[in-house]
Amino acid sequence: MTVSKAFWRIVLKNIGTIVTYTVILVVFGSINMNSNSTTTQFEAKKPTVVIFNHDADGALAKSFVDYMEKHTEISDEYENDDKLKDALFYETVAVAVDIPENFSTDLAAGNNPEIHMQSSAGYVGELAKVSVRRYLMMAQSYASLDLNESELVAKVEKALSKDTIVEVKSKVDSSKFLRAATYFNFANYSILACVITIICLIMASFNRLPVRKRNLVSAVNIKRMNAVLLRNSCIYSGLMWLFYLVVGFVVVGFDNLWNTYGLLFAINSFVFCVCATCIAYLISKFVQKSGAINGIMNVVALGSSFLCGAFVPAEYLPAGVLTFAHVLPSYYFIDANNKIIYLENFDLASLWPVILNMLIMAAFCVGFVIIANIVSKKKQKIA
Amino acid sequence: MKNVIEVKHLTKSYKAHKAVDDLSLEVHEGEILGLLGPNGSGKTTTMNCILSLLKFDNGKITVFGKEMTPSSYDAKAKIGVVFQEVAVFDELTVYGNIDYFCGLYIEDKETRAQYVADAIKLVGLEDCTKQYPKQLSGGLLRRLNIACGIAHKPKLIFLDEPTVAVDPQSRNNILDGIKKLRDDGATIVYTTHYMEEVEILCDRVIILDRGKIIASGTNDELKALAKIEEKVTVEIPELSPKQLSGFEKIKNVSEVEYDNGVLKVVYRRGKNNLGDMIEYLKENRINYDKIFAERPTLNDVFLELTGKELRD
Amino acid sequence: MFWHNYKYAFRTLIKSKEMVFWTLAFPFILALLFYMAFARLHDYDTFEPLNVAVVNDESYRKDVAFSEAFKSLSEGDERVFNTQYVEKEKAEELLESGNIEGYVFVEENEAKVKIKENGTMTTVLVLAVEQISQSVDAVNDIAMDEIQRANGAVDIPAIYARVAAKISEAQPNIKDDSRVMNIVAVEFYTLIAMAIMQGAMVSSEMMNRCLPNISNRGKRVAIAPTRKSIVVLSSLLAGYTMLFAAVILLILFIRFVLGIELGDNLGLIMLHSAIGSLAATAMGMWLSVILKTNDAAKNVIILTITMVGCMFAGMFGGQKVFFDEMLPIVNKISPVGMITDGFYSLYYYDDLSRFTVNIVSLLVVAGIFFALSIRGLRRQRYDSI
Repeated sequence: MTVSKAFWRIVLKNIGTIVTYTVILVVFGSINMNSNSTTTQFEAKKPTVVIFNHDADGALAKSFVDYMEKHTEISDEYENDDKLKDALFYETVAVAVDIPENFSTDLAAGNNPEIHMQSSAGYVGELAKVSVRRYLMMAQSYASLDLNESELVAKVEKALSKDTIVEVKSKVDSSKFLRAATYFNFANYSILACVITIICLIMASFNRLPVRKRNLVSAVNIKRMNAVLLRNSCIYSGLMWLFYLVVGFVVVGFDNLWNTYGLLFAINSFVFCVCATCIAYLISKFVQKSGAINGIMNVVALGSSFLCGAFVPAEYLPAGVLTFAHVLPSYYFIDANNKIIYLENFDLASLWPVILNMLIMAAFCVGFVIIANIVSKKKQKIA
Repeated sequence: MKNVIEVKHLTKSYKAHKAVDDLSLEVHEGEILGLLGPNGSGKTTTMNCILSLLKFDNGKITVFGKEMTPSSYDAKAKIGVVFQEVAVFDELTVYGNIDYFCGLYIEDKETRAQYVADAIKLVGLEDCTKQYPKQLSGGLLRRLNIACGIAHKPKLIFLDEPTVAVDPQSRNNILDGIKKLRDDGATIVYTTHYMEEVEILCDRVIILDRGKIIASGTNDELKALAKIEEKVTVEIPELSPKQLSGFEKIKNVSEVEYDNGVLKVVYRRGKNNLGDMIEYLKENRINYDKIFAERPTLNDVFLELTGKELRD
Repeated sequence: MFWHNYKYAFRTLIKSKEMVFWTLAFPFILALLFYMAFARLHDYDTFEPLNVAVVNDESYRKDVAFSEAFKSLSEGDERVFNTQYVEKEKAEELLESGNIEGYVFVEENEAKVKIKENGTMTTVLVLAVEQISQSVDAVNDIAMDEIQRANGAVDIPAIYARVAAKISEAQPNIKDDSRVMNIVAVEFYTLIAMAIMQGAMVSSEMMNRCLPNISNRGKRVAIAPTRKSIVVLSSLLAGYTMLFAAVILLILFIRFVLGIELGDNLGLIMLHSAIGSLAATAMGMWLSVILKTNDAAKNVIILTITMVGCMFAGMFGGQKVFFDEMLPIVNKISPVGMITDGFYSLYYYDDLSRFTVNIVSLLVVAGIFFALSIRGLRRQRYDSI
């Protein structure tokens, strides 16, 4: 059928858009997933620490380095230069410590030597600082006793050796699925961008005044043509969903998604794709110029992604922003993704919060379609 | 007569396609020259070459007696062009558009204000000076397009199909405006594929086809080429074959055609053919409803010369 | 003539919805989004107290040293924890429902922590408990040592109190040289860089108007008796004026309305923006001259180049250092990278050498684009239009 043919020809003409947003998703989704920055999973990676030890022979200095080695990742790739400064700024290095000469003897003598430290501003920086401070505090506490250096080292090490026993209640290792959730959360942006851009462009070229006139007078029933357009839009969104699912398997890893959690992610993202189609359908009723479509799409996609936690995890967003985000469908998509990873059982009661989010998205869909139809009814006569 | 433009042996090809093929022409001062030809015949390309917008393979072009180059600013100052496509700023009002383009020629503000007002009057846009192009109808937009091209009172004006897709009222307005420009002393090169306009407007016509001049001259000179003097059409409800064959024997008649109650008779030469025909009908007691005679059109000329219709 | 064209070029620009959107509205919207999304991420100092619980049973109350220390962390304005003292069952319930991050209980004379999931918040709890336990042990250890040395007749509680006080007062002599920095500021640097680079759209649009092979208005300009260079220059200057004004507004908005630190040297920030805008203008000019497509397609190309540059400069969460290590060349030749790095070095470094490198690089980029454009523009007749 000619309408369908024209539809897919326009899709093919805009394949560059799809490629661009997919590349963004793959590159930045993966970076976010593996990021050791403040955002997620800091527990999985120890903070990176740089130590300039000017008291190489000192027993306490050595003990300090050992202690740091145990609790952090010590990097020897840095000099005390701009590269280190940049690394501190960008939080790839949490803390840089400068151990002065004669540190060990001075400390044992109770002289409290000065230690220079630079830290990054982030959370990991704070954590690494806690380790540094703790060792030095303990050393200073024991320094008041009249001990020689090796006795002091032994006492301090013993005191710091005690770990707190931590019981973890959850039997599920959510970090395994955190990667998947991060991917799907980021996909929020790419799905919105691809679906809105392409569908709006297609609707715009069919609705542009001269074309619209021609369509209206043509033998094709206008209602049937709209139905065909809508059906093809849904097929297109479905293909995009399938495509991003396949990309997800590649990026996240097959084993991490080939399970019940993966199924839930897939269902959730499918519901969201339908929702994105409805958003695109609604926007297409208002906007017809291709420049304007690009602008609106960017505002909608970036806005939903930033405010609902697609780029920055929702737990770091201010409460007010999250409250506001409740009016956006993306919030429920991302919230559902974040809830899926903490599921332990798959009975209805456990699944209910996730299902509820999907139902809310479905409600958004119905709302968007109703508004779109009201708008197009009003516009029908003005051909 | 002075020549404002002289083009000698102009050739321009786009890859294998020869758009203009060894074309030579002159434009005399004070005339309206019609460049007539179907789409793709090389009219616009010739114009763009004269304006030094396009590179060409061969030939020599002089305007106002000097060779035309991209930096012939003296010549350019005296030229006005109305392009086929509407070239205006959507963000500027009617007045703003004309003032802007006029400002590329006229520095002095007072003179410019006067010139812009004149141009608005010439094309009859007095009532919409504050409107934006989007608010104008197709015809008014064309008029604005013309005003932008001629506001600086050029001595030589190129009009590239300025009446395409224009309503009759705007068209008449545009044609009147062009005549007025000529009366004010401008030389005009008028490109079109509407024969009627050429017949009404032009002093001289050049007919182009596939980049070549196939005929040139005044309207009458060209019509002489049509080898048709006159066409007489008579509505006759009934006609026997015998009666029909009688028409062919009338003096000067070269072709007779009868179809659906309409008789068409073509005369190659001669005077008073219509009178002769009426007399013949009376003599033979043939009843007729309507009778009228047509002089040949440029379309007939074109048809005669190329074997195809001018307007596609 | 120059100012006539300038005046009209500027007027059409500020009336063009598309230009105003991309140079002004879009960066402002993004700035607001960034501000909202990163608002909490950069307030490291103002941690909200964590909701935790303590199993207040016999063994907890017996461990006086620990319970006292934990209590001190749960009191006052600078408290770390909002602590509820409850029964074990209640604590389990609170943990299950997600009302608390975790709870503390004492078992076999040892403080333990129970949490639902490893995460940022729970780590704070674990670290605090660990620190208290270690300090308590250290106090015991040191006090025992003193008691032994004192040989009998001593006031044991007094010694404990003295040692505990001394340990809690122990302050290592740490000189913190780190600057108060905020990685979120980089997001805004890339944002400003993005706004500047999108200005290429403006100059591209201005050039399109002057080029007869792109627009009909360009044909009008080409047949006018005015030098092309004058029209081109005044059009570009109009575009530059609009771009620079938009960038200044954006910077003022980011600095004074959103309160993001950009450094103190406002003059150099303006200089940097001015030169960045120059490079963007030159790039747009060049793209307009070499690309023979319509302006919508040109804008998409410029948008894509800008966005890719922004990604590499770290706007989408990937960090600039990451790309600097992986593909060092990109940020060295990308104007977005140079602009971002310039703002960063202006803020982070005291000496201006790195800033100067960026400024000079931008000037070189601008120069190259201008030179290439002029070469393309010299041709005055076209093969086809």
